[in-house]
Amino acid sequence: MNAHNLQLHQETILIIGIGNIFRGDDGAGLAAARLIRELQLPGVAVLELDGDPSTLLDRWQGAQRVVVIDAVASQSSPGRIFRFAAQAAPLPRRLFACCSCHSFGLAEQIEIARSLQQLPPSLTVYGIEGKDFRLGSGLSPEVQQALPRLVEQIREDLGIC
Amino acid sequence: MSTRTIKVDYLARVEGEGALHIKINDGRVAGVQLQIWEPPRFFEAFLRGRHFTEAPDITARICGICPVAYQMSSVHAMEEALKVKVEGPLRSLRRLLYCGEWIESHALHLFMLHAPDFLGYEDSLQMARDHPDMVKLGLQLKKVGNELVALLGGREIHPINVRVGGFYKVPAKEELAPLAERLKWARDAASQTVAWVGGLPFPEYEADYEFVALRHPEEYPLNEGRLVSRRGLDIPVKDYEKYFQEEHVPHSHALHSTLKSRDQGRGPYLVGPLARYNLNFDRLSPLAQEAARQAGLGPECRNPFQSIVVRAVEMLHAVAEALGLIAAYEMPDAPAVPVAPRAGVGCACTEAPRGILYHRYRLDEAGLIQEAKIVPPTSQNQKSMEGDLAQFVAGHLDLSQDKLTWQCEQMIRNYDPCISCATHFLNLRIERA
Repeated sequence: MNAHNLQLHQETILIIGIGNIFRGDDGAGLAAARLIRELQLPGVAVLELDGDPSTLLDRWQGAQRVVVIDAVASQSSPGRIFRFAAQAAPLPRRLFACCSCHSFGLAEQIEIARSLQQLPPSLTVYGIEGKDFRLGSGLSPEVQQALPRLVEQIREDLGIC
Repeated sequence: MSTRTIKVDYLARVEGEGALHIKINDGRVAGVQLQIWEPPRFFEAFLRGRHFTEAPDITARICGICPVAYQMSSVHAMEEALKVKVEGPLRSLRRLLYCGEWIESHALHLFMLHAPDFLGYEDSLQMARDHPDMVKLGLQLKKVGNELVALLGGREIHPINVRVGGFYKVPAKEELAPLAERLKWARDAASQTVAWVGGLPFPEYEADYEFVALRHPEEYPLNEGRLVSRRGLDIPVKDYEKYFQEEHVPHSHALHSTLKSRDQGRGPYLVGPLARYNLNFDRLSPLAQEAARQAGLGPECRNPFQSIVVRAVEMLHAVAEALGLIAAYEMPDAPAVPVAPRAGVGCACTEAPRGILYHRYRLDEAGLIQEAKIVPPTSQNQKSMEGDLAQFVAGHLDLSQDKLTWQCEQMIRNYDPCISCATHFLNLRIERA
């Protein structure tokens, strides 16, 4: 869905999945966002961003609570879930600036938004460790298996069980 | 013998992955290698056997920054092969869509990737802390471009509404009205941008480039024109391969292009904003010409560091052009003209934000692609980039290693290289004792 069509109410929780489905586990954030969309949770809007995340600032304008899900490559075990309260502190760039040829990594985008005072009041970033970021579609089994757990954690976090 | 090396193992603020290695022996530049290691992507091979209607959507996937350019070159090439002419409001809508991509791409490069170089910042993040208003302005300008692409292309990245013969769906005139209001704001913002970048400090450097761009009888080039150069080339696009040649070099995954000129044999050439500007200044809108003059830029500019000013001028032109196209637009009766498969060969060049993008296709009777050739702007500029670096380093050997390395990276960003497109990219090494 195009964000321009999204009517964000103050109460809306905005979930943003980021990734590239043609780069293996880089599509994990998108896959998680799709699972959440399928749940059709009231008060929850879901966005999928493919490639260049530099429009992030626009997309979350007006939203009070934002959750971003992206794949990470930190050399830890595939499927491991990371959680960061990004409105409080910068993301570790090591995790979010590496695994694509996007012009800007997620960490930089969030810091630019912070400098421009355009961060949402609540911004949580979930990272899911990927195994294989080579060209090709489909997630590795470890990442696929971790997705329901990730979705569950996000729901608990947001109090929307 | 004393040897000095300048190396950047990973070039930042360029699209894609690559490296630069410069070797200096006894105060002379002994070698410059721009190494592109973004893997080859084999798009030309994927296209073989596919139906002609699929080419715009497949080739749009080559680049997330300039998908419209790929769509435009592919549809124009197909239409030539299939003997179809797209005119009137459909042609205008294609130009309008292309203006959106120019605004989006130039704003991103100018504000977020290139400007930090001139102001002494590591990246746009540092720049955003000290110049939040300019960064906000840049992001808003980019957004206007995105909105134009989203409206006409169906979505912002990898638009899906373009087809051979026209579009799948065209907007009613009133649907364009809100965009015209946004573009009026963008016109002022782009004028302000030209004045701002005109005042930046530019390293002293000029090169004797063989500029190559399209030239159209009336328009600043976007979708069509003859291929012209500063040294007298003036050919129809169908003769492109007679004059331009691609070759493999061992240090790069991207092919290098050279131009056969009448007097000097085969040599490097330059495509992109600087080339378009020098060859088509008289075709810029009066507003863009005036802004360029106010910013201290004459009809000729051979300092590649000033390409940031040229991009701002082109962005202003694209905004003015878009406003003109919207004002004159009348919704066509059909979103596309009919296209029937037939055997044939067609080629086209359009002006992507980074320069001419050439496509050629050979089709069989059923309209299936038998052969495809795609030459993106960045691979055409590689030889000029290496030449510029060699000449620049030779003239600035007294600079400290840090400063020289910084300015070499800046030189590369002058080109706004799109490494992902060129491979079929960057780390920087300057080696000296």
